[in-house]
Amino acid sequence: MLTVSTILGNIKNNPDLYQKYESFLKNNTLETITIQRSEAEKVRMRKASDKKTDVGFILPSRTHLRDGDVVFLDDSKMIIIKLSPELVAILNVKKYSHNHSHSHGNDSQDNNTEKVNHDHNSDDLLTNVAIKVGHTIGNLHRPLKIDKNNIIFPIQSPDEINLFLRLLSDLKDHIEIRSDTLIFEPDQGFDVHAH
Amino acid sequence: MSLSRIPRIGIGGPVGSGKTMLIEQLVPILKKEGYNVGIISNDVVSREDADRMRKNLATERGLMPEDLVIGIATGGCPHTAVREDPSINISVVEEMETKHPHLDLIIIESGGDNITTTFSPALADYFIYIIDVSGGDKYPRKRGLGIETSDLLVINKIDIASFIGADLNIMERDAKIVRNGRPYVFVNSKTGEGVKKVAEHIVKNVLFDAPPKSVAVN
Repeated sequence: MLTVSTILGNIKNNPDLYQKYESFLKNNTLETITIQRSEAEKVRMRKASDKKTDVGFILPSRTHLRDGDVVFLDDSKMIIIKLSPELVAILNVKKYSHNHSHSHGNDSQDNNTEKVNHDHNSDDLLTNVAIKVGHTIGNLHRPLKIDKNNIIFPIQSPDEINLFLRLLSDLKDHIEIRSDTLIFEPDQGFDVHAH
Repeated sequence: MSLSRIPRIGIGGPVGSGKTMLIEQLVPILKKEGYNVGIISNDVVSREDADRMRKNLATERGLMPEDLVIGIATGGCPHTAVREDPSINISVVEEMETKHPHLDLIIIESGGDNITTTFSPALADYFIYIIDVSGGDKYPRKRGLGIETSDLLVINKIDIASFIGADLNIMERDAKIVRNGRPYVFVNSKTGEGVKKVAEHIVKNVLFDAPPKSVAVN
C-alpha cells in the first residue's frame, strides 16, 4: 500500500504540476483516484487508483481534498484526485438594470427622482430575493457555491427542483432553477453538512 | 495530524436497528485478532447502551477495561452530536487517545436517528450505517445519505426476514443500485452471522491491514 500523508499541489493552480500532468497523461502514466464530495474531508481512507494502485491516506487534520490535487509524484507516475460529478440545483437570479430610466416628458427633475426611486426599488428587490433564497437554502443545510449570477447547491433527486420552486414561489418572476450534474466544490466557509 | 491520532469509526442507524449489538459482536472478533478497542456511545437522555456494553464486554467478559466504554447523553437530536457540532465527542476521543495511546481503534456509536444520519469527517474516518429488515424490503431503495453514502451499509436481523415478508434478494438488488459500488453486508447481530465480514472491512479500510499495536511493538 502506498501511503499518502501530504498534498503536493493542484494541477489547476500550479503551472509546473500542470505541465507534468500533461506529460504523464500523454505517456499514459497518469493515475486518478475518484472520490465523492463526502470523502473530500476524510483524513484517513484507503482507495484504489484507476490503475489499481492501493493508496492509504493518512492526512493532517482539516485537510480538504480537491479536484486536481496531486497526491503522488515520482519519475514513473503521477496520481491525482478526481471529484465525482454530482447532481446539483442551479438557481439563477435574473438581472436588473440599475441604469434603466423612464421618459415622461422634459422635466429632468422628475426623471431623476423616478430613476433614484427605481434604483432603490431594484436594490430592495435584490436584497429581498437574496435574503429569501439564502434563508431557504440555509434552512435545508445545503453547502453553496456562487458562480457569477448562479447559486449552486447539491440535491439528491431532480424532484427537489419542484420543492425549491414551491418554497420560493414568491420569487418565481425573479429566479430560475434547473438541475445539472457537475463537479461541485463549495465556496470556502459554505461547506456545511447536508441533510 | 497528531501522531497519537487513533483511527475512528462511526456507527449510525435508526433506533433499534442493532448498533449496540453490532459493536458487542465486533469487539470480540477484533480482540481475538489482537486489536484493542475503545467505545464511545451516544444516547439522547440515558447511558443505557454504554452501561450495557460495559457490563457485557468489560465487566463480564474482560475484553477491555471498564473505563474504555464511555457514555454520552447528548440531550438533543443525535446527529447534532456526531455531525453539526461533534465537539463533545471529539473531546472524549482526544481524552481517550491521551490516556490510552495503545488503542488500535475507537468506535463511536450515534444515538438512534433517521436515514439522513452521517458523521462529521472531523469525528469519524469510516462510517457504518446499519438498518434492519423489520422496516420492510423497501428500506434500501428509499435511499437517504446514510444508506447511500456510508462507507459500509450493514443490513441486520436477516433471521426475521421470512416472518415479516421481507425479501433479502430485493434488499440486495436495491442496495447495489443505490450504493453504486459501495459495499454492504447482511448480518444477524444476535448470532454474529456476517459480522466477521464487517470486521474484515474495518481491518482493511480503517486499520490498513496493520498488525495490532501490541504486536507491532513486540
